[in-house]
Amino acid sequence: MTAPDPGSLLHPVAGCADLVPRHVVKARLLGQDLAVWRADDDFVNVWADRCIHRGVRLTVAANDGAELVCPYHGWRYSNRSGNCAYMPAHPSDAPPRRLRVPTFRSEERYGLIWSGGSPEAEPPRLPHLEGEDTLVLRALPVNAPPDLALQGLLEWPCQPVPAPGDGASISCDSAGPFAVAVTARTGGTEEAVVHFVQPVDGGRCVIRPVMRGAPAADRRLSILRHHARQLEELRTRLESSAGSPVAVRGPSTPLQPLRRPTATAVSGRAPQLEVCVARKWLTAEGIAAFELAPVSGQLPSFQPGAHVDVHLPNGLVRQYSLTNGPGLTSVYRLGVKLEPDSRGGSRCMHVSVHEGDRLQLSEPHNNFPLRRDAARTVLIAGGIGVTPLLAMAQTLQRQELAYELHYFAQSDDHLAFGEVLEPLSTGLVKHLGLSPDQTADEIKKITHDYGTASHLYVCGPGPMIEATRAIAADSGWPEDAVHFEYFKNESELHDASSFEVRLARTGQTLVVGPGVSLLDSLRDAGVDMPSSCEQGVCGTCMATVLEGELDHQDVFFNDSERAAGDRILTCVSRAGGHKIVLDL
Amino acid sequence: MYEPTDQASTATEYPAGSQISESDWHILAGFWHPVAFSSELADGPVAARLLDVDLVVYRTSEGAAVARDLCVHRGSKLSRGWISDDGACIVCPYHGLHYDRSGQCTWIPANDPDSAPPPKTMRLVSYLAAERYGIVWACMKPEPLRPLPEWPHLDEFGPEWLRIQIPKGTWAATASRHCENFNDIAHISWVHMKTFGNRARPVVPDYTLEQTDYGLYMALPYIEVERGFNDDLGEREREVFYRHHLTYPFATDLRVDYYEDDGESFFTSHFFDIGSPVSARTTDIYQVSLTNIPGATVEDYAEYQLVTNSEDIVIVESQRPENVPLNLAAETHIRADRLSVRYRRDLVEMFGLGSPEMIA
Amino acid sequence: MIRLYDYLLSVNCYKQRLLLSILDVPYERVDIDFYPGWEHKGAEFRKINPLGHIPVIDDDGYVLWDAHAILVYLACKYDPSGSWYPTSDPQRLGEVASWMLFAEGTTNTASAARLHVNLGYDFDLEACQAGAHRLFRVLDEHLWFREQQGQAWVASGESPTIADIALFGDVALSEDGGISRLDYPALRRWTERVQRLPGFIDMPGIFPVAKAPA
Ligand code: FES
Ligand code: FES
Ligand SMILES: [Fe+2]
Repeated sequence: MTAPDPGSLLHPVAGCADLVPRHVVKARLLGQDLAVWRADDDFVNVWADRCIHRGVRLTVAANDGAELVCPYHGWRYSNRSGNCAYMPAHPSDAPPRRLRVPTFRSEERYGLIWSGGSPEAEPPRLPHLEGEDTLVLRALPVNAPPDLALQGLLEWPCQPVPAPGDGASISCDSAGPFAVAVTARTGGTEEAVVHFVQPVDGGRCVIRPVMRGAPAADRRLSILRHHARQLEELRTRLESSAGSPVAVRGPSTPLQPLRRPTATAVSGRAPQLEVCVARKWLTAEGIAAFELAPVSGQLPSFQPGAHVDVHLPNGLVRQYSLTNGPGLTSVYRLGVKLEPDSRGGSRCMHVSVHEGDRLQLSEPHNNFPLRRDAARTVLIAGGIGVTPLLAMAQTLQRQELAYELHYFAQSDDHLAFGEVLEPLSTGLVKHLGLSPDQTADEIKKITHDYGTASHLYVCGPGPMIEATRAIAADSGWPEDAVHFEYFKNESELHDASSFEVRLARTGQTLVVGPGVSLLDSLRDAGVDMPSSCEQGVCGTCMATVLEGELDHQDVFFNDSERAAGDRILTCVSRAGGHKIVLDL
Repeated sequence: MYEPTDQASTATEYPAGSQISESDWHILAGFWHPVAFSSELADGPVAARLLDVDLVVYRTSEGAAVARDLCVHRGSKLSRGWISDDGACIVCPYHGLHYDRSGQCTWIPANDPDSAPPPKTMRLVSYLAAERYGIVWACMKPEPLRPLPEWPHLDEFGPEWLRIQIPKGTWAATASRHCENFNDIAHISWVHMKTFGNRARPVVPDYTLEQTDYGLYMALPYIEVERGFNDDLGEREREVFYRHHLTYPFATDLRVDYYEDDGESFFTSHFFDIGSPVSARTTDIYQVSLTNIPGATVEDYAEYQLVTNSEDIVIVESQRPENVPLNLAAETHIRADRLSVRYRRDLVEMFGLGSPEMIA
Repeated sequence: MIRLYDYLLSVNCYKQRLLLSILDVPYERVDIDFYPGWEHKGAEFRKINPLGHIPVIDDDGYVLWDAHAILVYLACKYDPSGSWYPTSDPQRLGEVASWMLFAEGTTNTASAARLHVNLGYDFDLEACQAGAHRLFRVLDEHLWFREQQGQAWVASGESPTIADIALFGDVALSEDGGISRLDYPALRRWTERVQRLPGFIDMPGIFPVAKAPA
């Protein structure tokens, strides 16, 4: 029998009990350093222990229950997806969706967390432990190669529990490629401990013993001590035969990061997610609420302010903001108002979409990013416009940042998502039944004292957004402090032009429309373009230009490279004229 | 200005077992790097290590000198030796062989005093040495790729300036990781919360960045928080203006102007920082400051700088991979990182560092 | 008022600042010119502490040196609850004394490695690191068993003691000295518990932790 490739299996990386709240466990498996943490929703994340920005270990990041915060530049990474959710140096930019920490499998079994690079493998099932309670004994890191430890365990018939009686017959058997089961029989009783060996790297391992059965409380501690002492003895032997009690570094098989749990294509607005309507209810007068659960895998994470495109059964595509706060990661929650003069979007959602139905969604997009560095954050919601602001308010509340949420609605019955509003009470102000003039007066009061580092977010009916912008401008709010949905984003990209691109190698010609990046257009046309920053900084998305004027909007090229005009960064730059030819 | 040593046959001197790739080693060996503070030479020769080569640094009456820390006679460590009474030679502690500044052996005490002088071929493996800014520099190739950093204000400064030399630190990090950290703006608001960082100002504006003949120039304003360690003044914000002059590959002059409340007048400090690549993942940090802030003292400044370093060191030592990825796709870059992107590109495009075919 | 002869980057001094802050006792810092003056080795300072090391306290004329001795004194004098140095409970007091002695070991290994790396002290780095790993193994096991008994601190009982304070700085700053805590999960959880104590203050090199869940 040839030994299986350890990279094709799952291995334990921590005990479930190691993952205390708001903590990040440091682990290492097959030469890959891991950061393992439990979010407040109980999801266990197994991530590469490396911030994708400048490589700082994420095991020194702070676990705030929903995000990990890197200590070097404060980037935040979301629970489950590992997506970068926020970059404090550029607070008004939504981080590109593909910025994510490599994530690995995470499964719980027998009181241990299991991980590995294989998408299919399962943690082992062992007859010794099935169908019983288990007790996780003390794990012991050993500075000796895993195979040496396995060999040592087979030759070390350690009495698993203290004195079950003389004459116990003890057997040690291999229980799979990385486990040794020890069974002790006396009379009618049988005790079993399985020692799982976590291959840390070529020269080190962790022995993780799990005992069958849950001993009585008074015996528990003595069993733990007894076993720890025995294992300690074994470790001393192993380390002296391994030659050095100091950590050795040997060859190691790197783990394969998991593929994205959802489709990788990020081209344009094609539907990429299949979801199922898990719950639909009337949350307020004329407003239906939906919870959409993934049909398989996980939902991509998103930042407050984001929306998804919903592909409706009647063929229409509608954009709806996500109301989710940071803790809610298993479903997307939307609110849809029935518009009396609906051309069929909201009507379809209200009438034709039922619980259990399947829908196609785009990945979340964010044109309405929330800064988390404001001295004062004012959220102004009109009616259904509350949806993205609910996501914002919950995020701010969780980070204990001050905010005011002004919710304008016709009446109490028109207030949506009461169960979400409830815990927000400190920051929430309701303005009910006001006329447009009264509303304007109220907004004047809210915005009258602009102070530096204040930010205003408004979402609601068009006229209300317009009125708010005008009032805020009058009260001295600078333009870049007033944010509203459907405004592209604040970075000064000029993407209003439309131009033609010819791909010299394939002969294709595409049209890049206003508001669409050259990068996205190329991807839509099936060109596999790499990208990273999507801000014109890193040069990853470069293409060679054969012909045509360029409108460089990156900060990557220096003046002479710019003048040469033979390369373009497709994520931000565009044609200067009507047409360019690329060497693609 | 530099007295070239007449034998610098170091092309085959790549040290066995070095973690630096051979191609990178030959490139880095062509730059000037610090090997000692001048003040360290007061009591005689000292040992240093540069790019995995053990060196002896000594000063004769002719000036500072740098050579392999190896007596050609029986391989003793010359750094354990001393300077001859006339100041002209370094003396090997084993058999007392004398070597002058150029590395030439001038006296073999065991020989009959009437015998011929030691042969011309009996000499140390010496390297280019220069002493400037209170630092002894060495270059292990006969033709330096770049001159020493040009920091005239550190050569000569008026009485209103105070010079502060920070104790040499050793970081378990590559010189480039250290250099990028020293020139990184976005981290200030996160890492330097005991010194000058301002958590309320994490946003990095679009700053000036220019390529220059020595490397890069970056300029931008910031609002620091002033925290007195040793007084009860509490914390207050103050406007500053940063000018970074990065001389390739690892030397920076950071000029900070501290504005007074009137927003016009200011005092200035310079923080000079040079990382010396001891080995692939070990870097000696040489820092000197100049300030014209009235009442500044050496003790306070040194402590401030040491506390600042200790905020950085844990972060930088934790970066993975330890080597700076010169392939830009290997890390993520945002607008705030323009300097580091340019730096990495230039290391590749100007000097050929990180050459893939040579990486073992 | 207490005067603390102090240096910001010294772990032993930090232990005093930490306890004083937790006990909310006002004090005055006397910053020792560690560099370039080596003031603590100078004749003037040796009049205060002939051993020439810091921290030293001067509590209205009562002068005491040795980091761990000062912790004992401060806890006895300024902790009205008596919980930080439990003189009324012989068993716990014994444990505290034993772990304080253990902390001498972590100071001489883990913190010595850090001094070598950061301030160029002439210590045998490898020996310090290996010694620290030996002690950390013992401490990690000890703390793991404490957790199994539903207890959080180095000495038994419900509340932390000066043994936690004496050990915390050496452990929390160990990675400065090149001593990884990969193999010590219980130790990593315990440092976070210390960091969440009311009145906790940090020093450069200690990473902030997230707040405990509400
Ligand atoms: S290295 Fe993590 S945020 Fe920059
Ligand atoms: S993806 Fe970074 S420059 Fe385009
Ligand atoms: Fe820094």
